[in-house]
Amino acid sequence: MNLGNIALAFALAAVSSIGCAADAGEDADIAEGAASRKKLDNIGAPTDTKIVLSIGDWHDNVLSPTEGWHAYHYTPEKTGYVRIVMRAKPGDATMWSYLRIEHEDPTGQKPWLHNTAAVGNRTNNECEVIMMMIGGEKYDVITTSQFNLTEAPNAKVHKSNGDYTVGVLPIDSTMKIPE
Amino acid sequence: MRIRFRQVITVAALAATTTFAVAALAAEDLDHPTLLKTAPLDGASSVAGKITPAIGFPAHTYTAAKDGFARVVMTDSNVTASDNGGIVYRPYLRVLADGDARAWSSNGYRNAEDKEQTATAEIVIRVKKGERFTIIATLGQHLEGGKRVNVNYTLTVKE
Repeated sequence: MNLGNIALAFALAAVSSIGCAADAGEDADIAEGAASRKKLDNIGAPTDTKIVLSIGDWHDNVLSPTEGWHAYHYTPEKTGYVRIVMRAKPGDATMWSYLRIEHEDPTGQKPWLHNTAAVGNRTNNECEVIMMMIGGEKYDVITTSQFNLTEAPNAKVHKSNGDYTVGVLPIDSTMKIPE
Repeated sequence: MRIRFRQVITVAALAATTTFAVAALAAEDLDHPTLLKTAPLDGASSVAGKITPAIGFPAHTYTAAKDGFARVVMTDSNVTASDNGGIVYRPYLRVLADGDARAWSSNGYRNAEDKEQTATAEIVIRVKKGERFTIIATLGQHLEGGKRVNVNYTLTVKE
């Protein structure tokens, strides 16, 4: 086992899930974890909004210097492609939209090893991830600003300071994902 | 350790912008990939090659042939099957749009069907005819600063 594998194994053993939809029996653990995440609010521990997204609905929120990383939850009913979109005010110097989607793999691999991320269009400040999601499996939708990511992803105070909206949307019915 | 490791992956994922082309003379890494000019992806097409210690971050230009969605798929396998304990190194796929700073990344899945001898990463993007992108095929192993390794890869664009 080389050094990279040792690091990977260690990271895999140490990493915690960053907030999954709550089951009743896990409330205490989740509450404790959420408090920790709230305190940290960084790339490794985004603030858990506890909001479960529904397809077609938008959710408005604010990223601030003290709450610069938000995690939402989404569990698709059926397998298929969806669009995850984040929009912020064009030209906002602190709010260049950034999305990361983490898949909680039921086989046990860690969600952050299965992630798809995107940086938004700098002109219209819209960020779009199009991806296949598996029905019944859990995904975290993480919003932040590209500036938070690049400047100090583990900082306690972040660059972000502004409104945004995020949603999971169906693929346009007139367009088809190539097979 | 956990945060640092994760941070490395994610920051490497999308921290950089599309400046790699002008910095091609710098040491080769995710932000300074090796652009393989002789192997472009024009419309629906495919290329195959090797990720090696010398070329750890091969990049290909993709030009969309029509409006719609494009599905970019990277598949990899170890050159020597016994490497990494007999499990394929994790792929890492990155797509950069020319002109408006959009970027995507994905680190995909090892394929259980072949006992993790191959892995696949996929990115779906919205494209317009003539729009250009840069696609980088690399490995999590290389992002993490580990020993560079030898892997076969295939990049396929479907439109």
